[in-house]
Parts: sequence; structure tokens; C-alpha cells
Amino acid sequence: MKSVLVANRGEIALRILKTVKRLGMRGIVVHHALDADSPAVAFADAAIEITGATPVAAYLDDAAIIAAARRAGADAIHPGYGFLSENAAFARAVEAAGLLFIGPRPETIGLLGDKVRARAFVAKHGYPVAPSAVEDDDPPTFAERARALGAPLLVKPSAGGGGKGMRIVRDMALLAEELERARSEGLRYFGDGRLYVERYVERPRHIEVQVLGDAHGNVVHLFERECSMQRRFQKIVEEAPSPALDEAERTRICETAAGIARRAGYRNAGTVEFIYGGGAFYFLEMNTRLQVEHPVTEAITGLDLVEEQIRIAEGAPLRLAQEDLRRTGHAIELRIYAEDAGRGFVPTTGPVLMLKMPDDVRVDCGVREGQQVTAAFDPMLAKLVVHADTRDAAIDKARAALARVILLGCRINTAFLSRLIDTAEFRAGDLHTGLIAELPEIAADPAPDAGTLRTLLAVAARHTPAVVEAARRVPALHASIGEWRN
Amino acid sequence: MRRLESRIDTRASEFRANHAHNSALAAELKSRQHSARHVRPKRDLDRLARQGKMLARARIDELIDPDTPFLELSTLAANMAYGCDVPSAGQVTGIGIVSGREVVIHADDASVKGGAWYPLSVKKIVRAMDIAIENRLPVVHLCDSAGGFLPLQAEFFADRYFAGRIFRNQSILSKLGVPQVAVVLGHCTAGGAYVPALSDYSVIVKGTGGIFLGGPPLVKAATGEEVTAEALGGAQMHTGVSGTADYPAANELHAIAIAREIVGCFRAPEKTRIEQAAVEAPAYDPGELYGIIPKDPRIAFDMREVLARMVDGSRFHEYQPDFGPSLVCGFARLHGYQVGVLANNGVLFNESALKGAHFIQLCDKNRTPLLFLQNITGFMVGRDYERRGITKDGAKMIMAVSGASVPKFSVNCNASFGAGTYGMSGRAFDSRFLFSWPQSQTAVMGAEQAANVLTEVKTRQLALEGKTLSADQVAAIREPVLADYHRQSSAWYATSELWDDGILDPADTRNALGIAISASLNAPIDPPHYGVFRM
Amino acid sequence: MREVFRVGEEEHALHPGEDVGDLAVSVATQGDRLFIHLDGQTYELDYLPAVRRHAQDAALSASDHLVAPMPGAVVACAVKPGDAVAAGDLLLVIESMKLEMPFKAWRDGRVASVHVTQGQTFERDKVLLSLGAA
Repeated sequence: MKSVLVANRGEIALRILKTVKRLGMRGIVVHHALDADSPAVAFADAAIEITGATPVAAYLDDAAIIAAARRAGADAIHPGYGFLSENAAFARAVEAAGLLFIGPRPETIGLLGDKVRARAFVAKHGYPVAPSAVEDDDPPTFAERARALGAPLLVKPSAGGGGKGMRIVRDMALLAEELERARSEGLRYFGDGRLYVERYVERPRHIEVQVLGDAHGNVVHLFERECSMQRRFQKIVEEAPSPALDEAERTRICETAAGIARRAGYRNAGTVEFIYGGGAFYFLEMNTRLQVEHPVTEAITGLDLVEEQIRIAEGAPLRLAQEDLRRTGHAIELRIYAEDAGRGFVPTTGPVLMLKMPDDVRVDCGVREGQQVTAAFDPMLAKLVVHADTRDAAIDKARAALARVILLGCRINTAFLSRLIDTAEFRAGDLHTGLIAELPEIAADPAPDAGTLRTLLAVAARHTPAVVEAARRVPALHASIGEWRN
Repeated sequence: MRRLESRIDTRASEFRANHAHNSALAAELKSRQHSARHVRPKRDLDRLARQGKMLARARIDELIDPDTPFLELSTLAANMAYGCDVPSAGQVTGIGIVSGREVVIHADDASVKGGAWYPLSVKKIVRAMDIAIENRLPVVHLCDSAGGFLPLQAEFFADRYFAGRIFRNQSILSKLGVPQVAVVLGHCTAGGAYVPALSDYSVIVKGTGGIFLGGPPLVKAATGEEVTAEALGGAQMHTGVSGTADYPAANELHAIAIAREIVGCFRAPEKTRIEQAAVEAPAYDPGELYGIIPKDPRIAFDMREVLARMVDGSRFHEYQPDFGPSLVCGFARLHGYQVGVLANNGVLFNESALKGAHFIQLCDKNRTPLLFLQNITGFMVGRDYERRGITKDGAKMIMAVSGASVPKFSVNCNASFGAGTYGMSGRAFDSRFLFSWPQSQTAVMGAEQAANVLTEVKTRQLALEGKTLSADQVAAIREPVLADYHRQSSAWYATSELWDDGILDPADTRNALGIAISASLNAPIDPPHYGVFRM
Repeated sequence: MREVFRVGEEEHALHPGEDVGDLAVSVATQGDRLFIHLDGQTYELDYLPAVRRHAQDAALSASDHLVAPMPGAVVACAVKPGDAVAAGDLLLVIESMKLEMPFKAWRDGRVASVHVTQGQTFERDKVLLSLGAA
């Protein structure tokens, strides 16, 4: 492998390119016009523009991307996460085009990418799954079976991922309407309107295990990550190790994950996700790709997962056996989103007028100064990854780093993240996926106090030409006399 | 420039008694000003609130730049007229900074008789327009007037300096290239309609603003036509149809904001350059002025002590310190501006008059504005002085004062009597600004002298008829004369009649003069030229 | 007239402030909007020029317009100009945050105009649809 095309954008495209280039290979990236100014495009050895009906559609155009790879002379395609990363047809098409797909075998994606099939597979092998109803089993009775599970229910598109199209139903009267909405979203995002529902566990933790499998049947796990800090079903803070697990539980859950991957003959980096609550865990889904939060695992293991992916894709056997893998310290990843936590985490847009990142922690950043944050793509802009000896030290380090993230022009969530990880609940490691929703008081940035306000206004005045000019025009004599009345 | 050394002992009982007296006078001034500015019958305030109108001074506070001064002029105009019922003559005038520009502000006060124009209102507006012309200051008119107060029309309509002069002055300003903005915040009826019409720019508030030559009642009476004020002369009509006004505004603050933008577009003035130095605060506390002005106005005091508490660094370069010492002349700086000071330290003798006339010409040649600090009972009288030509020498001083091209500023610190008023640039001599201190008196002669003269005349008449007056009869003639004189020579009366531009708290004088000098430099200064001095 | 800035939802007049000297702040401006990073927090301030602030915006009366609460894209448009709608009728479906959101008529009326088309993306505060009298 001499040349890799990255079929992705943003921070992950850059992150993959960095490893590709570090390994001495050519890094190529495709990009939509909106991303022409992105750091990935600037960093790549070559960048090829792709188009689409919408900007997102451009990154989903498998034929165009494969054509670009061939035109650029790439040997392999790395799909990153999202977009085409878990699309078995794409993986197949890449291989049919004579290129390496840096990911699992297409049939593995087919099996594990379909949540319904994956659950059945896992259950068949004796691993725990949640009570559920699958539409495909008997479509006419789906709603009835869903209702029979009882509230609360979680509705998911069968082909889904990344929280897209997921809906919680607590009031059964709304079930039909929510099913329709989820179906429509599934159709639009995944071209697949099939659904399934499962019992929604209140106050669950989301714990996942990173696994690596090679083409020779070897599978190792790289320990777990706790990803319970979520809003709108999307993770925003991930850490490793999980503060919830003792060593026995850790071993149990990690070996379960490795077992599932091994049964599936899994090749590539992958993640087995579990719902964990009350000491029990059950299989949620398996992501057959690199995860957004993979740097947390990299931090505690010292591995470069993209490098491992590439080696695996080239057919090399795993370099490390399970007993060789060690973890050190505690790592936390904070996802920096263009969003307004105070307004229900709605995405924000705007120009990146100024961008400064701390340089003493890992920052995977997908934007640069001068770029525009648009509504066209996922609003995640960057990730901050800290690593320290203890969880508390990592939290402190994270807060210090967050305070030094300066992105002006588009509202981001760093202040919210800082408040979140400083709550008593987070400090105590007392996490669950609904925690953020239970902390509405920290959502909005607090109004500045009187002193801060004075400073802000003074600074604003100094940077507002009209105000500066108005003050400049006041004759010195009158300015010196000030607000005087005779 | 040397620093003046004060000889005042601020611990002396005399100083403390003066201080208490003058502080009380300053407090009385503030209290009278407060009433004139802010105390109104509730029904008037309620009416304005109903109409969504701000008070005139609140409008001005919004109009001017934040954290800048407003030098309000003649706040106590009409305070002794019309049954004391027309505070400030229903007008607010003054100098303020709008969008960085020094401007004259003229505002009708609708909380006083609906903003109706009384004779003294007209006098005050004409004076404000005169200030604008003399100093080339743009004007912002905040219009909200019910029109002329008809029962007194004979006293404000037809004469040379009556209401027509307002519009004449507006036209002259425009001719001089000095722009005006009118903000129509209420009705401008009849003559008042010409204020916006003659302004270069006008803004009118929707709903409350109206401009008509004849208001709806007059139209109905004249032609039987029934029409609403809004249709007759509202914002939409005038900005969209007649073109009498330029900018419609949604509300008062919007209108004021537009006016501020307009002023911001005026050409920046190239101010006349005079000698200027870095500003230095007086070395002595201006608050000590209260202890320096004697409680008894007849007691003399050294004007240098006043200067020490008014001018930059208390520094003063005295000219001819040993000649004609009753007129102190010399150079000082006020807020950095060099001025030539003429200050009375007693009655004017021949030498003092000659010194004054000479010093005025020096300053004029040197392009140095003149500051007259008045405490003058008059020129010396008597056979000797007449023989030495005291009238002729006084005429020289008056000729110099009248002819000087540099701006003049006058402060009546204590007394301004007789021909001394003329020699010291009284109202008739076109000082750009003339202020008074609360205790000051202005009259053709002192009250005592006047009463004495009148009783003397009466006694002589009776003596010719072979009659004599008893002490009681003398008192009966003297007392009413004295009372009348006291009343009419007081600063309150002078300011009521607009003989000055307002009474100042002595401690405010430095700032007021600084603003006044700065304003005057918006106008060019003619080369020196004079009439014939009687030698 | 004091200069006014909007900080959050509140308007604050500019008063003579303390001397902020060489404070460690980062500032960026875009038009009349200022972004100020101070002590780990970023604040958005809007300079409100007086004329604009005091002008009453007669063009937009909140009761007649559907304003986008967030950026997104139009998934479906259920009405067209001229359609009579009753309160609760579906007008538009938008997609934002990976979620679909239906917008229903907030009162009876007639659709005056639809300012977006299916598939169109929009920014926050975009007027999506205007409702006229019934």
C-alpha cells in the first residue's frame, strides 16, 4: 500500500491523513467545495473535489469516490466514520475496483451493520441483548409487538447509527407517529425505512469496547470506553477507563466484546457497544469502523488505531497479543461542537474568525481560521483529548485545555463541556446517558457578572469602529470635562 | 508663566463666613435651577407621558454624546416674569456635543404651557440663534411648541428682535453655511412651522410630530375643512408628499438618533487656532471662591485671588502691574486656551482705562480672546478726573472693547454698574458669552447711590418750593426706590430678562468658560480694526 | 445617546468603563457582532447602532411569520401560498440535528407566502413561511 484515499472530511480526514503520511504513504482526500479550505485538504498530498445534490450527498457518492481514488492512483480507501464507512455495498465496490477497503469484509459489515441481524447473531451465541421487537420479523404485527414491550421504548432505524433517527417513546399514544418519523428519517439517511424497537433502560450507561481483529482470526480488545455523556443520543464526552467498572466487570465486558468479534470473524478496528445498568450489561450494537472517540483508547494504550487498521487491511497479523496490551492513566475526549447548549444544543453556524487551540494536549481539529461552519455537515468541529494519571487530574487538565480553546465566530460548546465535567455527578463518575438532560441548569452559559460585563463592554467598545470613531470625535476639552451640567 | 500666590487664609473667620454665605447662594441657585428644569404640574407631566413624549432635557441628554457636558444657557430666564409661571421661558438652550460636533441646542419645553412662546421665550431663542451665528455653531432644534402666546403678541411679534428674528437668523445661518437640523417632536404651528422648514435637515416623528401653517382648528375656522392633524401635517404627509420634512422617525429616540447621524455628516469645522498649551488644573481649589467673594458686596476683594482659582495652574502673567492697578490685566490660560484677562480691582481711573484700552489692542493683535471679570462700580467721577479726561479715556476703552475682533467673554463676578459695564464688555458689547455670579448686581448705578440721587433730586425740588422733608418723608421716598433697585439690579432679575447667558455657580465658571471659548473658535477671527480713538 | 450592545438577550448601555489595559482577551468581529473570549468563556455581543435600534421594525410582526429556530433543511412543504389552514395543520417539516421537526399552523389563516422550497437549507431566524388572515 503506497497511497490511501480518505473518503471523509473534517477532523477524521485530517487525523487519518496524518497517520498515512507518517507511514510514508501518499494521502489523498476527496472534498466537497464547502470543505475546500479545510485543514484536511490543505494537509493532503492531493485533494479531489466531489459534488452532489447536497454537500452530504457528495460524500455518499460511492461511484464518484472510487473513480477519484483510481484517478489519483490510490491503492486503498479509508472511509473514516459515518458516510460510507459501514456500507457493505461500498466496501464491495471498492474491492471490485481493485482497491483495498480499510475496514471489515463486506459481509461482516452486512451482518453487524444491520442492527437486527447483529442482535440475532449475538443472542444466538449466548451474549446478552435487550428485549426488542423487530419489524422485519412480521411487519403487520410490529406496532403491536412494540406496544407489548411497554414504555419506555427506543425506536431505531435498522440500518442506523450515530444516533440518527432514534426516538424515545414514553407515551404509547405517540408510538405510531414516532414510528413514522423514524421511518422517514431512516429512509432519508440510510435509504432504509425498516425499524426495530427495544426496551429503553432508564439511567443507562453506555460502555463500549474497542476491538481489533486481523485477517488471520486473531482478535484483541483494547479495553473499554465510557460514553455515557450524551445529548440527543450523541456522545460528547468519552473516557477510558470507565469509572463504573471494577476489574472483574471490566474483564467480563471486554472479553464478551472480543468474543463477539471473534465469532464474527471480525477484521479491522471495531467497537462493541453495550448498555450497562445495575451491574448488568447487554449488547447494543457493533460499529464496524473507527469510532469518533478512538483517541481515548489510543491515549491509554499508546497505539495508533489507524496504523493498526492499515496493517490489518494489508493482511498483516496483529502485532500484539492480549496479554501484551497495557493501559495507563485516564483519558478523556471532549467533542467540540458548533452548537448552543443553552438552546437545546441546536447547531450553530458562522465563520471561523479566530481559532486557537491548546498545544499541550491532543487536538484533532477539522476546521481552520477563515473557514465557514455551515449547517450542511455534522456540527462536530474538533476533539480535545487529555491524558493524565488519574481521572481527577484528567478532568482538571481537560478544563484547563477547554478554557484555552478559542474559536470565535461560531458558538461552540466548550464552556458547557467545562461545566459538565465539573459537576459533582461527573466528578463522582456517577454517569448515565440521561445525565445531561437532568442538568438543565448548566446548559446555558451563565450571564456575565457585573465586572465581566463592564470589561466586555469596554473591550467591545474598543473593537467597534463606530464607537471608537464617535469617541475620537469628541473634542478633548469636552471629553475631559465629562458629563457635567451647570 | 508665574503661579499666583494666594494670600487668603482659609481658616480665617471672614473667609468662613463668606464661604457659608456664598455656598448658600450657590445652593439657592441650584435649587432654583432644579425647579425651573424639573418641577412641573402633574397634569402637564401626565399629558406628556400620555403622548409618549420625553421631557425637553431628557431629549437633550439623549441628543448629546455620552459623557460630555451640556452648558445650559439662561436656565432662569423669565424667573421673575409672568407670575413666575414660565420656567426657563419654556425653552432650553445651550451648547453640547452631538456626534463630536459642538452645536447649539434649542428645545421647546412642552411641559411649560405646551411649549408656547412668550416674549422672553422669543428673546431666548433669538439669543441662541445669535450665539450660533456669532460662533458659527450648527443648531439642533427640538421642536414641540403650541405656538406664540397670543395675549402677549405685541411684545414678541413685530419688532426687530422679536419672533421674525428667529427665522431671519435661521436663514442667515444657512447662508453662512452653518447647518441646522430640526427634530419635530410635537406640533410646529404658524411661525413655529418655519423652524423645521428653514432648517437644512428635518426629522419628524410619526404620530406626534406635526408641521402646519394653520392647525386643524384654524383650518376649520378659515375654510370649514375638517382634517386631522396627522393628515394635515403629519410625518407621512410631509416626508412623502410636501417635502417640508426629510426623515420620518418611528419614535422620539429614533428621531434623535437620526438627528445625531445627520450632525455626524456635517463637515468637521476647521477651528480657529489660538495660543494653546497643555491643560493644567488650578493650583488652588475653585471651591475656595465661595470664601473670597465678600458677603457684603460693597467690600473690595483682589481679583487675583479669583484668577488663582479659575485659570490653569493658577498661573498669570500680569501686564503693567504697577500702572493703573485698579484694572488688573494680563495673560492666563483656561483649559489650555490663552486668554487676556481684564479684571476690576476697584473703580476705573484714567490710567486703568488707558491700560485697558491698550491691553485689549495687544490681545487683539496677538489673537488672544479676552476675558472680562467684572466687579466695577464705574469710572471715577469728580472735577479733577473730568479735567484729566476721564470720559475721553473711558471712551477709548469702550472703543477698544467694541472694536476688538477677538472673542470676548464676560463674567459679572460681583458688580457691573454704569459706564463701567460698558468698559468691561457688558451685554451691549457682544461678548460671545456673558455669565453672572449669584450675588452680582447690574444697574446704571448702585442701589444706595440711586436712592440717594433720587431723594436728593426730590429734596432739591421741594427746597425750591421752600419745603423741607422730614426724616420719615425721606425714608418714604427712599425705601421703595431702594427696594425696586435691589430687585432689578439682582442677578436673578438680570438673568430673568436675559441680560446674561445664565447665572453660574462660581465653581463652575472654569468649565463654562472653557466650553464657551472652544465654541467661539468655530468662527474665524477678523483682522484687528478699530474706530477712531479720541486722543 | 449612549452606545448600546446586546449581550446575550439583554441590552447594555456603554458607560465610561474601567481601563481594561492589556487584558488577555481575544476578540474577533464580523460586522456589528463581536466575539470576545475572556477567562475561558466566549461571549457574543452585538453592537446596536442607535438608528437601527430605535426604528420600529414594522415589516415583521411575529404573529404572522414562522421563523426558523435553528439552522436546518426543509424536508417537506405541506402547503402552498393561498392555502387555507386551520390551527394545528401541518405546514412544513424541517430537519435539523438529525431530527425531523413538524411545524404546524399556530392559528387559522391563509398561507401568504412560503419562503423556502423542499431541500433548501437555511440559517437560524430565516422566515420560512408567512401566514395571512383567514
